[in-house]
Amino acid sequence: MSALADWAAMGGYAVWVWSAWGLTAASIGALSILTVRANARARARAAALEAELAETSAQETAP
Amino acid sequence: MWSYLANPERFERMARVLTPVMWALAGALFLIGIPWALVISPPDYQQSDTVRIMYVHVPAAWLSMAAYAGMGAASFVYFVWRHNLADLAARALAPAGAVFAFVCLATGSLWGRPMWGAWWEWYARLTSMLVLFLLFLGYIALRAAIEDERLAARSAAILAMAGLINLPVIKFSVDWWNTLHQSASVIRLDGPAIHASQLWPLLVMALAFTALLSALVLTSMRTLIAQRRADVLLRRREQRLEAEELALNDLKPGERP
Repeated sequence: MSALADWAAMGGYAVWVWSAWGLTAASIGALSILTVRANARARARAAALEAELAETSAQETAP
Repeated sequence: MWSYLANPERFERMARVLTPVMWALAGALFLIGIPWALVISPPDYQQSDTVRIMYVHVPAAWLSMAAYAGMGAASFVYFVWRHNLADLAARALAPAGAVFAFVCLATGSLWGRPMWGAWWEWYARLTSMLVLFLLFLGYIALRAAIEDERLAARSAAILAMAGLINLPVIKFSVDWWNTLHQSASVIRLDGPAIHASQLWPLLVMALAFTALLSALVLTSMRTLIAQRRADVLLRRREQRLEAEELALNDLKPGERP
């Protein structure tokens, strides 16, 4: 058996080790992506509203 | 100190710098910790390679408990001094803590099946950890269920503070009750009872989880601040539209555009 396959076999416990690590990576990865996406969305929305309000108030002050 | 930190603008200035730093730090520490835990560190003489599950299981357990301690402390600060940022911190900690607690329970289960021969046992350690997970879920559900924001924040703060009693129960559960679960081997009075070849990758992984939790919380707090800002702007827009409508009604029918 090659060294890589030997390592991947995890001493016969491959199923347990890789599913535990895979589950951790998936959970934490999904949480990170969702958190960053929610942040981008919230900031874009606030910025859009801010721009809109600035525009209308500029129209009001225009002659 | 609380008043200093309670200023949202000052927080935003600080968080703008600190958030990317924490994300980068978490990434760098995972780049070191993952190969160390999965490749370099030796298999255990009793547990063989299943010991590698510990490198995600134990940091997840520590950080979910740290997240809960932070949530309880922030709730206390909010409850006593009414600092909104403390409430935002508690809110931001809840989902991250829930995910970490879930990871701890799930990876523990995946270790328990080959090592104990059981997915789950009602040991005090496992049960109190499940309670921690449910406390996070309860906190999130309670906040979502109450419409009035201030009432939701205060009720959730009470729940978070009451749940703090669970933390020492988790910590000492392996000493107070008979159990198969390992007793403390890192944080103990006579020093760590774990070999350096396993201790170091564990500590690096724990630091990586800590940086990740900080990054997640800072990012979520900024999201909540942006949402609040958007709500204020939305209200302002509505008021303006109402004022315009009133002004239009004052005009004679022929003058209306």
